[in-house]
Amino acid sequence: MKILAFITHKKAEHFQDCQDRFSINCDTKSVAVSDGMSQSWQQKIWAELLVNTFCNKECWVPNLASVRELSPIWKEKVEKYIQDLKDNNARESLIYRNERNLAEGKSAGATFVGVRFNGNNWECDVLGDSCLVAKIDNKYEFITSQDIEKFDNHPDYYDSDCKKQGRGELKNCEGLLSQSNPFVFLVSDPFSDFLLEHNKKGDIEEYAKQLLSITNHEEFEKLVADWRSIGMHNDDSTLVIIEYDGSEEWNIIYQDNLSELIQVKQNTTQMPMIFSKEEPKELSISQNIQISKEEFCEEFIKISKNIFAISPIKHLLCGKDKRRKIMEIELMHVAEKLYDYYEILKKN
Amino acid sequence: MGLYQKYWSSSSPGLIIICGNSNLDSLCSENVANLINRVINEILMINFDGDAPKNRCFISVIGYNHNMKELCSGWLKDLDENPLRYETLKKKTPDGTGGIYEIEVKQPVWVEPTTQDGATNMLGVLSLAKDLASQWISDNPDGPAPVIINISDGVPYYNGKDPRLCMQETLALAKEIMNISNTDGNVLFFNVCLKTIDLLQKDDIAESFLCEFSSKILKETNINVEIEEKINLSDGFIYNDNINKIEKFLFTILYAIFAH
Repeated sequence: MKILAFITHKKAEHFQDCQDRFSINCDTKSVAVSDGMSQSWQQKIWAELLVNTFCNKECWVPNLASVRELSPIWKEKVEKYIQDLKDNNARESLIYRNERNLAEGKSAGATFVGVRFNGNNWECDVLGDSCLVAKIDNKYEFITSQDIEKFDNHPDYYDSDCKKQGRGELKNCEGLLSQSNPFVFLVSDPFSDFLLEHNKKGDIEEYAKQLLSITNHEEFEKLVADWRSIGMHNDDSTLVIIEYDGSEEWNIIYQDNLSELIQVKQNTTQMPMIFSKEEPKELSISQNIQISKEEFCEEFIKISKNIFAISPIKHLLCGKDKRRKIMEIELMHVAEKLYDYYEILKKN
Repeated sequence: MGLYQKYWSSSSPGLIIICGNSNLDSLCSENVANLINRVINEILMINFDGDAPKNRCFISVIGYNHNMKELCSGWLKDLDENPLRYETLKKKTPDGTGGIYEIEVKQPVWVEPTTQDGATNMLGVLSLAKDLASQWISDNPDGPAPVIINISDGVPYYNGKDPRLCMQETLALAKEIMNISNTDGNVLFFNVCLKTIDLLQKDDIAESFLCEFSSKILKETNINVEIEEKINLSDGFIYNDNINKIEKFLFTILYAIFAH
């Protein structure tokens, strides 16, 4: 069995904002995908807990009773997260918003799809609009707990609060991977919607082939960007491919590591991290600040947005000449801020 | 009219304009500021995922009496990171078993109470709001329809004109704004009257004036709201009620916007 797994975030966001999670465990031959609900809180921790529990505990089946048992674990993890924020002197609003939500009993919601293999046989549990797509005898089956005609912003989900019911009923399904049933996809909702649409149009095969041809993260990002441009929802997007290769052994060909993807992004944006205090004080920016053109532009845009956001009304309410003048002043502020920023870096 | 089905997200953000009238006594001016601060904070809380508020909307707050002044503006993350200061408040919270307990919460302050000068230049502030909403729609034709929340004393009064004339002028402009639309729908307008003044001596005139340019979201749109006080929301405005009910009215609108 060949396994490949990919994940990416919404356009205009970062990996840190991504609320999808997936897990693969070759020992238990389990794969799971969960999509944390936007309207809830600390949904990433909840989604991660669901997929990890499913994949790491061979006998664990997600139902109302077993999921309720995870509720105190989620709460414990959230409390630890808040304590870490305090220990690391995080921003005041970040701590108090989390504390307030915890005190008010706010909870997380997440959809779920998980599959376990026994040889070439699989058994799937699914709740919500995350979906298992299987090719069975040249037809595509969409396994989800919901009416596939009614995918909307209110999917079925598990709630992290044991007192709350969540929504929907878990659906269970079985199947077999073979020459004639050659693969299954576990996907979050943008792929569910998009593939379903093309299944109705009768051209899903072409899109399934594109998915099967991906071999690394860059190719996945390109495919997602292309598909978004032709109608796939701009949302966090996860894809796990399990493909029959004649063997019952699990062979992970490729899997994204979300923690690393988050870390890479942080390292490129938190530029002060790349300097050591031992560096000489009088350095020229061009020689010593290792920043790419893209990173510099990103910083420039970020600072510009903050400065321009201070008074958007001004731009709307004055004539061209005055607007140009305001623009000049604001650009000067951006330049000054960037200059100050790099001055600090030099001194560090 | 569109269906107001567009989901507010960081990939398709919306615009909320809050107009706050400070032509009231100092207590009411403080109430307006507190209300605006709580509304902004609630928007941040609704959109907070544990790491940061998602940038699902841009908020612009305009204060007005005779003159108009931009009090604060920004994307949610920027507002979250840049309050003027914090206050500590007590908040009553259900304990899940039918009881209520008090918790201490921090309330960020973005807007301070302003001084009064006797005027309610609703025409001026709506003109600004119209420019903002038009510009936003031209930049985001496929985003959610912009939302305007107007917190006032209920009766426009400016340039020494007869308040009835001010009402006519203001109403005409407000209806122009409500006709501005994108693919999601027309601009949504909600009115809050904190306290009537006695310029007209007749509350019902002011009430029907506000009703004229308030969006009847339950009647005219597909936004589905599960709330206790549907009557208030269906009228799109709240009139001369106590501050807790006003806050509940506004918060319900926010939940309808962000969680529908």
